[in-house]
Amino acid sequence: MANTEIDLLRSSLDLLILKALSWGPRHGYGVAEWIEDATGDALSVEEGTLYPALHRLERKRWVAAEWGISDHNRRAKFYRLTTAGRAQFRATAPAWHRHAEAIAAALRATSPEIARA
Amino acid sequence: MTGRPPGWRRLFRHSLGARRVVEDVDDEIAFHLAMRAERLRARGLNEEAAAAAARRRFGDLEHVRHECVEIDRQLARQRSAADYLEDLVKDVAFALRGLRRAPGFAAASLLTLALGIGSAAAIFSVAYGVLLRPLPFAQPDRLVEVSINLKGTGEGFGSLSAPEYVDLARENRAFSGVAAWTPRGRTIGGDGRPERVNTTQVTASLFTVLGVRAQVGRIFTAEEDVAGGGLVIVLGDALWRRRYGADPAVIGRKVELDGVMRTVVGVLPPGFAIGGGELFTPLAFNPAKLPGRGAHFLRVVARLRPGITIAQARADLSEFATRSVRVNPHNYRAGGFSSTARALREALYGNARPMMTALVTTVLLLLLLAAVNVANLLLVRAEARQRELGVRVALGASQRRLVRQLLTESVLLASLGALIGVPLAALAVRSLLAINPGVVPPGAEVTLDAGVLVAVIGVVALAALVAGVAPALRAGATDVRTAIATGSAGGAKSGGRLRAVLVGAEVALAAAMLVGAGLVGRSFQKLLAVDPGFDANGALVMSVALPQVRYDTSPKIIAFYDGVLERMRALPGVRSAAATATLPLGGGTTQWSVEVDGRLNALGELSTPYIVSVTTDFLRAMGIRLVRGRAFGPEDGERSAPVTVVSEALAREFWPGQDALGKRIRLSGGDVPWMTVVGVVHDVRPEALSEPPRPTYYVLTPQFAQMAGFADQGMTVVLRTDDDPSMLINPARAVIREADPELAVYDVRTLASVVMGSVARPRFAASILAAFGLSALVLAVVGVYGVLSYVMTRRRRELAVRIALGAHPSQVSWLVVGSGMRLALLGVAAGLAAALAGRSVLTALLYEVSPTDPVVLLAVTVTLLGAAAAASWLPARRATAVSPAEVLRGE
Repeated sequence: MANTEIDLLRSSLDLLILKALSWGPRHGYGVAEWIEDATGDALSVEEGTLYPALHRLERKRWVAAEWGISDHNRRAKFYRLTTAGRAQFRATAPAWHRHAEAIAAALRATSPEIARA
Repeated sequence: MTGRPPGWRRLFRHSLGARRVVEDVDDEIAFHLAMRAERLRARGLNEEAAAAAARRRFGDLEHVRHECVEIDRQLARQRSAADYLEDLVKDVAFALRGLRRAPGFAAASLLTLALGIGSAAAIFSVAYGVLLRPLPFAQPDRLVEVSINLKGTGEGFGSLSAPEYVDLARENRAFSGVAAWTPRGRTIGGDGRPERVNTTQVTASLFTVLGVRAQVGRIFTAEEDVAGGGLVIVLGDALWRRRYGADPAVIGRKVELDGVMRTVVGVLPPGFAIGGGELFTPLAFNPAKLPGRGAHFLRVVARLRPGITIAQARADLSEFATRSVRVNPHNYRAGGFSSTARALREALYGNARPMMTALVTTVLLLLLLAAVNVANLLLVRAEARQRELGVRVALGASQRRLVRQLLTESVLLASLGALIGVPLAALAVRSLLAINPGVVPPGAEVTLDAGVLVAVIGVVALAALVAGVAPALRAGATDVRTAIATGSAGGAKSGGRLRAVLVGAEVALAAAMLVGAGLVGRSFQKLLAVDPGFDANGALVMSVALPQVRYDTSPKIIAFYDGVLERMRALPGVRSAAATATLPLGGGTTQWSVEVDGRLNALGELSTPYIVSVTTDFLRAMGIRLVRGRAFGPEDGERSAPVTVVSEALAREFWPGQDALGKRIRLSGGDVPWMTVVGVVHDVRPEALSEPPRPTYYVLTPQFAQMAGFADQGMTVVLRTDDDPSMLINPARAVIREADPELAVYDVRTLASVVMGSVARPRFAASILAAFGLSALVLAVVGVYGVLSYVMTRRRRELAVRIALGAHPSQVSWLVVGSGMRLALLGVAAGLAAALAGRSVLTALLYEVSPTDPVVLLAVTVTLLGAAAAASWLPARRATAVSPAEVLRGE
């Protein structure tokens, strides 16, 4: 993968993780499932890449982790959004929207001349 | 916030251990794979296919695993540092609260620590600088001082004469280089700011032998070190900075030295000081006309040839001495001339050793005492907190946690103590150097040494740590229930014995130190009681040196002093004014052997007396009492018959059992007229109060000039007044300035301060040992008091029962005081024994006081026992003052 793609993916993945945790603590697999469902499996990312991202977010103190017991009575590591993580999400989500829309609009352009309103 | 998912519950905190990082990552990944496989199975895959698909979807497992472990390790490090810091802040805050709650304990321990650290670091730094720091020369351990001994006793380390030095430099086989130097006071002038400075005359080889280079300019060349080779100067760093503003352009500048213009050629690096000289000039001997073989004024430094030992050098010097006697039989008595070598450090700083040894020993004891005292205070405090610790153990505090907390408290105490002690040490070193009563020899580089500081703080901190942590270990080990149940009444018996031993040790250390302080103090007292032989009160002295160039004949010199003395006599308040070539206790003396009329001195059994060349009024101005005959008078002068006044000691030795008046002596070594003894005066101590009076004769300067062919250019003026002598300083200076504005007036002080200056070293020893002794006394009293007050709170119930059963409170008090006194007695006995065993440390500092002086021993015993009694009486009073019923009900 090219570096640009990694960066793009990484920042969008971070955002998706924060979004996934905004409803409450989940373990890693839970986050993976949510992303899968929410994106309609469109982001065919290797699931493993999720974990370094989670751990990195933990190091940044945007998420906090605790070991707990899952629904299936297994020992699992749960992640939850910290106040700093929530703030980060609120700050970056709108920017991402604008960014994505701008790129989408640009990609929809039909002529080399840009009409200025 | 959303709630936790069902089944989720908190298990334990995120693991911090580095080992567990890998485990946790593996668990997390395994969980993911298991969940994914399960989901796939639910969609109909078989077990194996599901597991394989889960792995495939996961991607590069090893890479992910590695990356997660890396991130988590960083995280763990961040966390443990943060946690540690957080705990530390908590512990420090806790310890500070604890110290604030026990201000007495905190103050006592901080004082002890600061005192111990401050004094020990200061004294050790000085001792290191004087005794151990390598001399600032190349390969200093290869440098030796060569000395001779004319009497052949093997003890004295005498200077060489110029012919001897020249012979040695030519004939020796042991040295790769030989150099000589001699100190000389000189006046820098020529610019309206005359200044008297200590200078050193050196051979050009001195700097090369020592391996010292100029920091600016150059050192002397061999050509400059020959008579007529050039009038040059090398400046010392301090003078260069003080007088010439550290200006490198000083090289090549002309400076007037003793009235002669000389050229500055170089500046020596800082720290170079041989014999205290601030300025260096070449000795510049004339090889054809060396000073006499009998004039011994050169100190000689030599560098051992590679491979030669100091013993081999001594053998070489023995041969040199034998050869000298053979070649110059008329100059030396066979067997009466020897030469030896000793390490240069020993030669330069050796005489500071006895004082340093005494100081280091004392401060070592003080440091030990401080350590014991802090340990003791901490132990007492810990005992009092036994119950608190027990409760905390019961509430689940781990022993490790308790240890850590008490450790924090100890470290905090030690740090605070160091925080006060280090500036104290710096201050002490600075003021010690400022006073410097001849303790630190010139040139010795003394600074507050970092290594010393670390070592001293280490010792004290270690004591604090051990004493601070021991109770925590015990608290962990003792049965919690006992500790709580017995509370204040029960307790560690072993701790009690340990404390008793510590207190006994404190008293013993204090006793030993007080004995030392007492002996040295009593020596000083005896020294001050010594009659110097003159009246030290009500007189001012000042020294003047006339440059050879302008005052080249005796009449000019005599006329100058006559003139200024005449004008000084006219100053208000001056009763008499005189001048002398040598001032008693002033640091300089001259001995000149005499022939005694009618007595053959063939065997040389008469001592060489001290000669003092003075003006007419000297005896009156000094207040030297006339015993018989008369003092010099206006009738004695250049043209009248030569007369002399002699000391009782001289009269006794030269004419035992006879009347000295009318007897005659003359300067030996020439055809000079006889001097008639016209008076006998009281003995004067010429060099030190501790030295017995020596035979001395006084001659009139004009008559001496006639006989000897010269007059001294440098003399000390003595002014006697009924008022405060310091009032005369400015008027007297003005008189000299009017007579010759280019003269440096120096050593201006009262005669009393001359006497005090001569005993500056013993006074310093006495006062510093007294200060240490007093500190020791205070520490020991604090120790006794602390332990007994603690024991009293422990025994309150028992004492209350005794009183309730009919014992009189005073009886009970005596019981308590008795236990304190037993400790003190044992301690004093041990301390006196230790002081006796170590008395050799002090003997060099004692004057007419035996190391077993009964007065001192008794005084120390009484003082310590008295202090211990007072320290035990207070807690005893407190314990028995309350009503027994109250105590018994309260428990």
